[in-house]
Amino acid sequence: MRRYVLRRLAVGVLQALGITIAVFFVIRALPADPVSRIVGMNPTEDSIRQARHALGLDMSLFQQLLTFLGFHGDGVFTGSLGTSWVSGSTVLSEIAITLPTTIQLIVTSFIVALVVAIPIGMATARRPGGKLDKGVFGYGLFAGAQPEFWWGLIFIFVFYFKMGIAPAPLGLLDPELTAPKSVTNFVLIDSLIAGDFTAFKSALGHLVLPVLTLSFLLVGPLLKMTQQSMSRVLSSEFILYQQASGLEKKSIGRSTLRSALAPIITLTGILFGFMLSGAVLVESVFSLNGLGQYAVAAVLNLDFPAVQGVILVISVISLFVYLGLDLLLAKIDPRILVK
Amino acid sequence: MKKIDDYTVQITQEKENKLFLPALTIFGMGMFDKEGMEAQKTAKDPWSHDYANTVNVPSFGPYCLSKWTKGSEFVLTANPKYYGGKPAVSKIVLRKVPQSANRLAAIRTGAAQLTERLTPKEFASLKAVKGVSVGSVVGNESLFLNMNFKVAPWDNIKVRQAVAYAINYDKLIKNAYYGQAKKWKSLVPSTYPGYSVPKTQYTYDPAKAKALLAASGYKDDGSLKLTYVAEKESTLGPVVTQIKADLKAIGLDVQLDPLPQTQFGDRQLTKRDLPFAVNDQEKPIGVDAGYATYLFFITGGLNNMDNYSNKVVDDTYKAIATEADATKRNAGLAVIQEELAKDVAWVPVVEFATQWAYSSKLSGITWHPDNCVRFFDLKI
Amino acid sequence: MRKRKIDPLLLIGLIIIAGSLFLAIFGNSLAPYDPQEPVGDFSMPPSADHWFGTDGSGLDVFSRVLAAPRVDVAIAVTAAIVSAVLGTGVGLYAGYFTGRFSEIVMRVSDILQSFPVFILAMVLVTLTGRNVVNLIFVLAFLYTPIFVRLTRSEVVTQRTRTYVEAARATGNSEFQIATRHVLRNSLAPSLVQLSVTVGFGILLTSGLSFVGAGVRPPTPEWGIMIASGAPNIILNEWWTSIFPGIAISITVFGYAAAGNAIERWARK
Repeated sequence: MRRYVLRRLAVGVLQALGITIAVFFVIRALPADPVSRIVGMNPTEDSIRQARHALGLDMSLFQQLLTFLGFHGDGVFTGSLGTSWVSGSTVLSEIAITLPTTIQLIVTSFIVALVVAIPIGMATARRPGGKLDKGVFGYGLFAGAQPEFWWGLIFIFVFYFKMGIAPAPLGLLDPELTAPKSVTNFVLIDSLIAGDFTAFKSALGHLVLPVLTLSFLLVGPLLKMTQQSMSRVLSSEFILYQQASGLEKKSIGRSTLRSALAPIITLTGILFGFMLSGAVLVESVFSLNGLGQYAVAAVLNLDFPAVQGVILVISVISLFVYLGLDLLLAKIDPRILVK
Repeated sequence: MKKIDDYTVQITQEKENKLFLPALTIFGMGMFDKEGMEAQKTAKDPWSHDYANTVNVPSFGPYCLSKWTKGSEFVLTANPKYYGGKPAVSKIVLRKVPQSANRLAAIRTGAAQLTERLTPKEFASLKAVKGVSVGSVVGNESLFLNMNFKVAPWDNIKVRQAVAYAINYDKLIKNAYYGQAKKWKSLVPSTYPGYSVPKTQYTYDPAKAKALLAASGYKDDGSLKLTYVAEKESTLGPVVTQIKADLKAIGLDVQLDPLPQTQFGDRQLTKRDLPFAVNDQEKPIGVDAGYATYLFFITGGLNNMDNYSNKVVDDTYKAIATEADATKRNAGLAVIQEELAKDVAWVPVVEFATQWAYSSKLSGITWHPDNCVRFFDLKI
Repeated sequence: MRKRKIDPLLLIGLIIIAGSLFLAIFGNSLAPYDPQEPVGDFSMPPSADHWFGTDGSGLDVFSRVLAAPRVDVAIAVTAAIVSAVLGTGVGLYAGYFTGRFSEIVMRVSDILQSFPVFILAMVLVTLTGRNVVNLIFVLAFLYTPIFVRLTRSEVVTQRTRTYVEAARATGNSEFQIATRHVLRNSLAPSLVQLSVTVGFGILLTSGLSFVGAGVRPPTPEWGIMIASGAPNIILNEWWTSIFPGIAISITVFGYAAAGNAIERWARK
């Protein structure tokens, strides 16, 4: 088990490094000229040269790569992601503010989606060919084909505008509330820590529609996978054996679930990684100021450091999520370790 | 500069320049507190400029920055020691909400008491909402088309004139601005001292435009692009769509080219190579027609985005820069504005109203040339 | 004789696909108004003159919805086909002739797949410029790894089958075996994926355009239309965003349904 973890970690680190370097070169190909932004109007030769030097653009590409990584001072290896060319703050601090919002959104959406998908998937697997089964199948197909940003708009229109039961799409907190003291930067957690239940309720309220939009989408593939996986396990021999041995339904159900979880977990991981940047559309619609929105703005503004930083962070998080899920998988299904 | 007493300084200019006093009134020039700034200096930042830009500003204003979440929110608390007296509103939260529709929602539900920069349509929709007022002032905001003299075919005066006659100004005012705009008759805000109406005016006349285009000798090959700031799609969208249609009607098939703000600014200010663009965000903050000329229209001007160069304008400006007599100065400015109109230095389209939407309980909103509200004036 | 029941989903899917392709070719000419010219008053609700109303710039929504497949569907279909052809080719080679190349291919496509897709798409489009051709290239680039993986794993399985041995015994060259026999038997997953990929392509194109990194206005494209209507939804101007969304919804569903039906048929 330990060897497996170490091996995966090593591969993961190499992959992250590979991604970083690839990102670096891709971004450098962007048609941006940050120098002009700094020197402003009517620059002198001197100020141009100074700006290029400050941005490190007077070095060779290879040297720039090394600097980015941290061989010549602050860099990735020392935990710095550079400074945004647009705002002047460090990329790390900006990501530290926007990332928690996205994570709260995604994690909540996944929890809701799984809570809905797994029981229903189990129920349909037990009754194949039934009405529920067909309904689930249709829903899975339908949900996977939807433009989620459009559904977000529809929800805003129906629940906020027409029915007035949802709060305005203004970000995570009502404008008149002050944010709770940021300990973790996660509004939901911070408000609980500070005992500020109004903020907690407000944040939760503002999350309802975005989470509804995302889970609506996520339930589709999760439901389908649960159903497929459960039916495969249900028709397997060891379950048959358990049924023949007269074990009670609940414990058969539990062991079925345990065996069926593997592909579901894998799918969750894949979807999670995809959602980290895929949630941008929902974030924009609801003005949540999350990582995706930050990334979009960074790309459109040709803010090299910010784009590099975001891609790196997302890739690293994805890798960790996959690793974590693989470990979970290995615990549930030790067969994986035997390869 | 010489200190006369605790409340007076004397500044001696090398050369007399009538713009000096108006320039001093520009709100962006604040006074720093010497001790406060010096306390923050570091080796990397000997003038504390970085500190002032990214952390806080030791200064003398009516409000203190109590919390700043970058990119998200500013919280201001009243400064009890303000020399003008303690402000009426004790706490102000400035929240960044990028989408205008969401700002609209905030005002409608009362979550916010003041907002700005909604689309004209959104402002119009608020007129019927109880508890919300909409204030609008035609100040110094205008929409114009700039065409780069260094890029063909825009160096051809007949092409420029053709474009000026092609635009359906009334339709634009009605549809894109919901009536909250008026035709711009010069290239200086109509509210500024020194403004005058040139004899050369451009009205909606597609037949004349077509004739001018034909006479210009320019054959359209569909390669022309009309650039505008991509982030302003919701306000500029209707404008550029109509301009595109108006130009198509006279035989010019332009492609719309939305560019992100930072790139747009870079190309307009620094590179000065935008061939043909729509602009609604330039305004001279110095309240003076001479200042506007100096900024935009003299050769090599700080914001001369079109590479415009006219000796008459340059010479006239030099002459009036030190002119003390107001009548003579305004006469000179009138000459300049006539030249700008003849050359179609820009196509002046409309001056549109600066609007705010605010809770009916709020009072004290007044217009200033930087289009920002003075919080000190507010009462709620 | 046993009557084969046609899968209703397959039928629906094929009808939608056919419709989308038809509109992609003829939609622009069938549109009652020019999709890029303001033809009415701004922001009018659906009426007899304008079935889907007009948007904030005075453009007829119905015409734009009809003309949009020329962009959305064309981009997605072209990109899907290009990536399928490329991906299958590379996957075939990597799967059949194992070795260093195969390993490298797998590692590279692994890395490509762990990039955040949407952001990478935005970066590439910004790099190359916002027009239809570049979008096709970008999408094709992003989707090729999928086909590479799919084909390679199928080929690896097929490679050990007896018919390959037999072909070798009768004197076929490795190249002939790979292209004539193995390829034909490995195509199934790719064909299924093709249809699904078109659906993804439409979603990605419209998503990119929605955030301002896709095609440029006033090109009629469903994503841009939704974006231009989004700020006005709370002003009760629902028609500008709703109709293009419905169009996307139906079209992508059609491709997904067809792909799914083919997959179930192939599995039998």
